Amino acid sequence: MRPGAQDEGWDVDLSLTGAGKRAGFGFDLHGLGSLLSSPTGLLILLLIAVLVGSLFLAWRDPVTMKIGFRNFVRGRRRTMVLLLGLLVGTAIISSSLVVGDTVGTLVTHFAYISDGNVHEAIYAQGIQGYSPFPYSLYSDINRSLTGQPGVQGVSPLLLAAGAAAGMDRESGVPQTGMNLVGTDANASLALGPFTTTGGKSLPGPLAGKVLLNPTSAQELDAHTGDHLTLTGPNERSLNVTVLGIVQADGRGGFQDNGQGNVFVTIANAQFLLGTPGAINYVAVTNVGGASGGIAHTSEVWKEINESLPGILDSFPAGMLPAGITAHDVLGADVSSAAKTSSQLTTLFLVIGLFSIVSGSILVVGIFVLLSEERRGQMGVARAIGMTRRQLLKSYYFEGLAYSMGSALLGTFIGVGMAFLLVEVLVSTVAPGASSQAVYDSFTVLPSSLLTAYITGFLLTLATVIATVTYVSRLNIVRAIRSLPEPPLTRKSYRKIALFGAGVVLLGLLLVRLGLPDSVDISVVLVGSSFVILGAGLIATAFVRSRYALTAVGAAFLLFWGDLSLRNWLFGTDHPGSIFILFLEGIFLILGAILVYLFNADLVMRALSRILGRRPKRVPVVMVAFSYPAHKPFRTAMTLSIFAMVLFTIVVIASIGNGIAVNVNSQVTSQSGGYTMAGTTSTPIPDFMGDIQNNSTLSSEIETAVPFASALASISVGSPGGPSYFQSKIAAAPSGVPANEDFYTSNHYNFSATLDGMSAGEIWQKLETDPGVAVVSGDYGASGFSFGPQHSAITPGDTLNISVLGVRNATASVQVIGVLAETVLSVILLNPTTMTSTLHSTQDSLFLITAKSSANPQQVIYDLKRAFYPYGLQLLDFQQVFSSGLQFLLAFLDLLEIFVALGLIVGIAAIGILSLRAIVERRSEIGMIRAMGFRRSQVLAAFLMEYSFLALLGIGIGVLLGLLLSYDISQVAGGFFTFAIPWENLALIVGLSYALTLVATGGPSYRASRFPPAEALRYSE
Amino acid sequence: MPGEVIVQGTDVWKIYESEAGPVEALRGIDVEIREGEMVAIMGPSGCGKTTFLNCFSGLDDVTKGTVTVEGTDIHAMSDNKKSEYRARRMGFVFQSYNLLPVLSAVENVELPLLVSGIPPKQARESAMHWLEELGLRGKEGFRPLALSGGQQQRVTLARALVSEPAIVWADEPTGNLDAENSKQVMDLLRSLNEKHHQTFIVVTHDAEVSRSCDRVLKMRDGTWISP
Repeated sequence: MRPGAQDEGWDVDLSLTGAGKRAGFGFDLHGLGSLLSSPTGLLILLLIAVLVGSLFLAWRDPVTMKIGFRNFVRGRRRTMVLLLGLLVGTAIISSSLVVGDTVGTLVTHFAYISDGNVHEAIYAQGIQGYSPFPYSLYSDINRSLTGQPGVQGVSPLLLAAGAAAGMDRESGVPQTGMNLVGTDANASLALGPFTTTGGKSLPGPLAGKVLLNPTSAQELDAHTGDHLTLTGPNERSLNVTVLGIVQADGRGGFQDNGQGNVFVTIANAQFLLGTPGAINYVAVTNVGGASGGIAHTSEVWKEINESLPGILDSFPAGMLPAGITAHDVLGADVSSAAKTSSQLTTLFLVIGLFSIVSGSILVVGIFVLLSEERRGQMGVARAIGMTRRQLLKSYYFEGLAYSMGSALLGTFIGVGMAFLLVEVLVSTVAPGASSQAVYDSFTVLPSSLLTAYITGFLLTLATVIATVTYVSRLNIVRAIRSLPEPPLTRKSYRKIALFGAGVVLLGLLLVRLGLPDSVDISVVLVGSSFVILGAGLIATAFVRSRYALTAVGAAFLLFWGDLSLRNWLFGTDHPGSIFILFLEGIFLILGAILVYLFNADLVMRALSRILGRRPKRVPVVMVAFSYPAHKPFRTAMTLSIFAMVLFTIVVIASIGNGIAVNVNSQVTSQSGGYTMAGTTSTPIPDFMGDIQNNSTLSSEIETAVPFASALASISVGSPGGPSYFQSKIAAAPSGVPANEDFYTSNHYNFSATLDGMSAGEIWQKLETDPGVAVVSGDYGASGFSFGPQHSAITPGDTLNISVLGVRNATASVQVIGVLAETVLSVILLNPTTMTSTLHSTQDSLFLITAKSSANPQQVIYDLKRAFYPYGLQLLDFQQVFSSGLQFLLAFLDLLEIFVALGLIVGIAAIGILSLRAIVERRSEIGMIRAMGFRRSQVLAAFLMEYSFLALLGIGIGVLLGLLLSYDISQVAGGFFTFAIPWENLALIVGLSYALTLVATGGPSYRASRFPPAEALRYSE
Repeated sequence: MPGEVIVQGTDVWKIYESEAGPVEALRGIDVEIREGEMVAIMGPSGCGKTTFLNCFSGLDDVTKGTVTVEGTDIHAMSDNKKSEYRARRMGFVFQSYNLLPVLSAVENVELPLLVSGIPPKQARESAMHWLEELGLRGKEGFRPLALSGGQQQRVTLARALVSEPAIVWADEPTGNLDAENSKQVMDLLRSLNEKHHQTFIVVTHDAEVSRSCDRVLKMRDGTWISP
């Protein structure tokens, strides 16, 4: 990324707390200008506009304002209950933003550790790490930059990731794959001192005396004063002493990817790496410390780019590696952290959208209930001369008060929810040492609070306005007498049909816009859905609404539920985003609700028949189901809320379960049936012989396949074509004993093959035909992993191979298969091609099968001990996938918990509805008690009603969630297998239902305890 | 001809606690009502008429005194027993109808029978019979709010009578009706009383209504002003 470039994500606003510093609440007035031009600033302006407009309205019509606010403060308990119901959407937005802030701070924290005080750097990136160049280049750059404004200092480094192997001669513990960091104390003052774990400052390593960071010290079981044997590539060894164990801060944790750092002098590093007189990294440190220095990046960057070309040109051609250039290190990483934070915020927001929509439906429900309760009052108000506009205004002011209050509460409750999520993150995803870093990173940016507050406020207010606009269109007489709305007239149906025609036209326009393959798939899908809906609305003019809208619901279920139908209609080439999951959920639930809504009476009749078989139960069933049947709008709202929340939880739970179930087949497909893979920095001449001669290893290892391997430059199609990249190439030996014969005994699967060849045919051809190759899955079209950046390779492609550093070692081969595995990132060749044509015979890649009786961790230890001089690094497939899986599952659990917070919406919805319902139906309760209903029958009727609503909503959510999970499994490229998470489902359904009973049990019990005489007398 | 005493109250008191202090709604009421009688309880608003109905029908508790219905002290019964008793032996008609708005006319009428455990088919037949008897044939599928006030009150009557109760309690049954509908309802009550020989206790402040009854008991400040 260009230095100084800011991430443009709307949810990340670094300007509030100063450049790059994210934590804290400090409000920087200098950032006010940029704040007002940011999305948060626009929201603030919008808020101000709404408040000023409201003040103007209040000034023009103080009476309606007074009525509105008086209604707001009418009953403290009732106001609190409604505020709690209204705050959910804001709380979800707020928690999503705060989770994003926290992760941003956390990732930034790790960026500061990993980059230390290196703001800019000059290096050349090669396939095996940084390419070496003469030390004199550093001297020239140092001369040019020292004393320049913004530059603190320039330091030379020789870095080799994973290149050091070692053995602690005291503990006897070997370790390979450690990062070798060559640094000189006197030349790297700008990078700051090392700090030992005891708190002592050390300027740097000395000749023959090394520093270890906690990771490498732990892996070697090394202590200060221990003697180590360090080995670099090509068996260069050095005996050294541990000078100290240093903290994994900005200096000690520099570029540590989890393998551990060994800090040596540049001279020692040059010896170990076999690069005398060379370094490979020039670090530039800006003034102002790690975070403050970012402010000088633009200035320093300019100075580097003005002087660097001249310096590079002064070196003779070929003396410097290709691609040497300056890099904005810390600024880019901090920006990348902001991007990660933004992406995570987006993920949480999209997942939380269901809860936000549920919250909005709850807002609609609450205000519809309020309006229904006040129909009489509203009618009288109209009768005595209040205009519809004034009525609306009084509701507007009441809604304004509710929106302001609920948004404020919701914002802070969201912060609490985010803290809970961080707690879960600490206990599951990041236990142990990094947990403190997670806690310390808990960040609440003022911009996030403002964004959450204003978005929540405006969302609630807009929903309130839309709802009351609809409900205030009342007939005065009907309102006063609480009469129902009359059935729709022919004219009304004509209006609906006309509106439907408009929806169809809009849908067709969207379909037209979305048809090109380059347009996001959601456009064409939403357009098609509009066409379906519009057609249904038109049909209501000709057939009964029940038939027309049931057909629309069924069509939504079919269209959004059947992936193959959508693929058949619109192909699979459209791009898409995670937002499609939200759309899919919304339309599926809308479909199910429409089908229910227009057939509720049939459902009720069937249920009454089933549940009302015993005569004593009939009146209870009749009372219980009559309300859901005859108040379909309210019922649909409650069902939608439950369905949406359960839908999301079930999708996440199913994906988690599908991944867990799939792990064994993943391990087989990724490992090819082998236990582990090994790579070395120095080829091992006789790996098999060494194992057979080692009694420990021969008792632990079943088989091992050594691969001749090398690094090569590859182009796809014509030689030197545009798809140029570097890759490891390898070939297994031919004609070895049966149990070591890779070609007949491996279990690798293919994701694509040439002309439908079977796996057996491919391996046989690879063994015998010098003109063919097989590539790892990450080179192929179906690869999902992090492969090299290049165009996808498919069977039939021609690869032109040129081995790096070997003259005339070139070959052209045709790809006959793309593997499913993505770990090795290798191109497998015919053994003859590898040895005779490409002259590569040295073995540095090994596939090993441990005996079933052996402990893989012990085997790894013994192999490293035996082969550490070669730098043998080992990868235990089972362990890699299990730990990766654990992290993924923990993250999915986190998402599940986040979504489950939305369950509060469902419970709140049904709780509020039941609280209001018993008030609304109090005199009816009195009547049924008068005619002989027992208390227990009243309780049973209410509980049955709410159980029906909850269980139907839960049922719709669960079924549609499973349907979507199945769809996702079809496009996940084998990433997960569709498997119903029965245990999780039972827990989710049980918990949701239990919470519903808790929320509705109280009001239902109260209803059953009303003294009949009092209930009959009651009118609100 | 009036028969045995069916409702008897002795020194019945009902005192409500309110913010302004205790309110004596009934003050030592003594009363006897006989089987088949149609009695009007009259008095101005707030005199305790509805409290009388609630306390004597078992909808509300009494503070002091005894209320005997069909020889049983109704307040000695458990809540469940009282519910059961009301379902079998009492019917209620209220001023504001108190029909369940989400049930159809016939469903409202059959509900008391279903509560008593009558099989649904039989309950439906009885409900249809009573709707027909009260002139509501063809209206059985209508929901209450789709009916006129007079029709709703007739549905309420059907609901009160469907279980053939011994006593029908009516609280201002014509309070929401115009003069013509009021007369129709009272004529109906009178004819049902004569035909089925049930006891009707009608709470009203309308002198016209009281004229349809056999006996009028006048109340003021929670006590009788004429025996």
